[in-house]
Amino acid sequence: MSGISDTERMITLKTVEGTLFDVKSSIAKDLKTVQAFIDDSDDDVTSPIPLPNVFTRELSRILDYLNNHHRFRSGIEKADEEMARYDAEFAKSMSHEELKALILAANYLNVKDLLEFLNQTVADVIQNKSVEFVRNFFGIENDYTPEEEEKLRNENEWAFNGVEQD
Amino acid sequence: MSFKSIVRELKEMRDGIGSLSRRSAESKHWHSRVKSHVVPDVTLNPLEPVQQGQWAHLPPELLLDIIRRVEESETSWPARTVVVSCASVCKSWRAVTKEIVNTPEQCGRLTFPISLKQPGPRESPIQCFIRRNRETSTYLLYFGLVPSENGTDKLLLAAKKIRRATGIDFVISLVANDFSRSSNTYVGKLRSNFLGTKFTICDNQSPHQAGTQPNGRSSKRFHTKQASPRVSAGNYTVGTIAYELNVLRTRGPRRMNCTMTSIPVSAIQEGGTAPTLTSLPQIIDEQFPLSPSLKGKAPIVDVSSTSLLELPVQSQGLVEPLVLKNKAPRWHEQLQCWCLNFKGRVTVASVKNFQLVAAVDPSHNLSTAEQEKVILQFGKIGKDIFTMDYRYPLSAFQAFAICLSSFDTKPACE
Repeated sequence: MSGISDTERMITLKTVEGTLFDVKSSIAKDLKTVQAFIDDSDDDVTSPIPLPNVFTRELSRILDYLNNHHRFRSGIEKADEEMARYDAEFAKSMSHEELKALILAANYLNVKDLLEFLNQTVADVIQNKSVEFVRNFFGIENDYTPEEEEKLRNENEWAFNGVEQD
Repeated sequence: MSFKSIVRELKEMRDGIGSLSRRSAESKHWHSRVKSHVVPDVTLNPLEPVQQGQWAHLPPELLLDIIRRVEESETSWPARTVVVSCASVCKSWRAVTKEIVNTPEQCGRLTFPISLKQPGPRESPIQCFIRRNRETSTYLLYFGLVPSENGTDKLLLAAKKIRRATGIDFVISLVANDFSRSSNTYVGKLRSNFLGTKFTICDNQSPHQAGTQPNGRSSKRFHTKQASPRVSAGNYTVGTIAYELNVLRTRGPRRMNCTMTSIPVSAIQEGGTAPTLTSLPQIIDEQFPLSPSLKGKAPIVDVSSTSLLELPVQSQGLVEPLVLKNKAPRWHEQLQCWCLNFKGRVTVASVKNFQLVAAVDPSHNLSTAEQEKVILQFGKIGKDIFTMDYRYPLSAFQAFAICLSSFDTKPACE
């Protein structure tokens, strides 16, 4: 809460590929990991902050999301609808791989709202999908033996029993 | 890891927040300053640490959040199948899903087959209906208020009536096309005596399963003393039902008494709990942390609901079982019939209709409200369609079995 000068300050972030992003400090506040670093620094942070695990593509998307959301929130009342539309487009614009990469980046940078939104998007994606789909999506190896799988099948059969599959 | 960060992590674990997978941070600066991201506003059981390799880079707290969102958004059938799918992805997912999913008693929702053997919610009943098929002598229990128009109802249990020389058996199974006792879908049966006045409810697994506990510890120690949960052809009596002639010997309602030998009367007294199974015998539910080296660090936090964990070994003879009796209907002078208030859930008069309440005396110290709680309600709403509403401390399986006994009407009782 140090006043006007805060919103004018710019923070520079550096991605894995070495790309530099100038970010307003008000936006940087939403990147809690970055903010923590800034808070902990004794002096003003002037040199670019390296983000060893964040790629340009992801940071660019995250900043895009945050910039838009800041705009929606500070604007007029109709923002809710616009925001919802933006969010829907945002989610649709990514492949599953990109979605996963973005989640990891958002998690690392600790961007709370975005992360919740992305997690919900993933939850929606796996909604009506099979076990195999979920495994593929998350890159998980099935660690059940064939015998164990056989026993699990009863559970699955019961769950799908009497339920019409489209 | 710097000493500071280890201390911080342990502190966070103690406070019930999962904190993991900051392996990505290389710079020392980062590591000591970065707080783990935590999903806010959710009361969670801390997740046991799991081996990194199995997650394919997805941190466990994120996974927990995603699965939790899936579970919360798909609360009704058929969509709820996705929760069961999540539990089959791999062992760690199964552990997470099982941690997240609450028992019917806690959330009023049925999720896994084992939900059918867990007590229903305390406040409002779970509402189901039964469809009878006279030709095949089968009875199907579905979840839902009444049959849906498009016929997409969730089948919970199925029963088949089999005549024996000495009486009748209702074999109860998870599926409608397999009633073999040796099959993985067999869950129990109801056996009647020759006259059809006394019935025994048999469960294929012991109600006192001291098996797996959510935090994965210590269950192995108790295993040897308990009936192994893997016995699938077991036969444990969990209740008996007795029908008595109406005293007036007219076409009045008959008297029912159900002695639930697996449920202590303390279950309905203040602070009481009913035994709650955690897994079916044929399904392996390992809830151990996968990384033995981390076991030592894993915090033990009490699950808020006690009924899931504590299953004390009770020698059955010493514990007073819960007895249920049917609520006496009132004679309606004007309508000239016996009436019970089914609150709209039963619409056709039938001698099969009943409401069960706890049979207690003043020494049990039960409040009037508790005494009047209808624990099981069953009645006709159409040709071959009956509703069944049950609540704590009965499970769907027990409730279904009790209702089946009502179908076996015998002249001795009428």
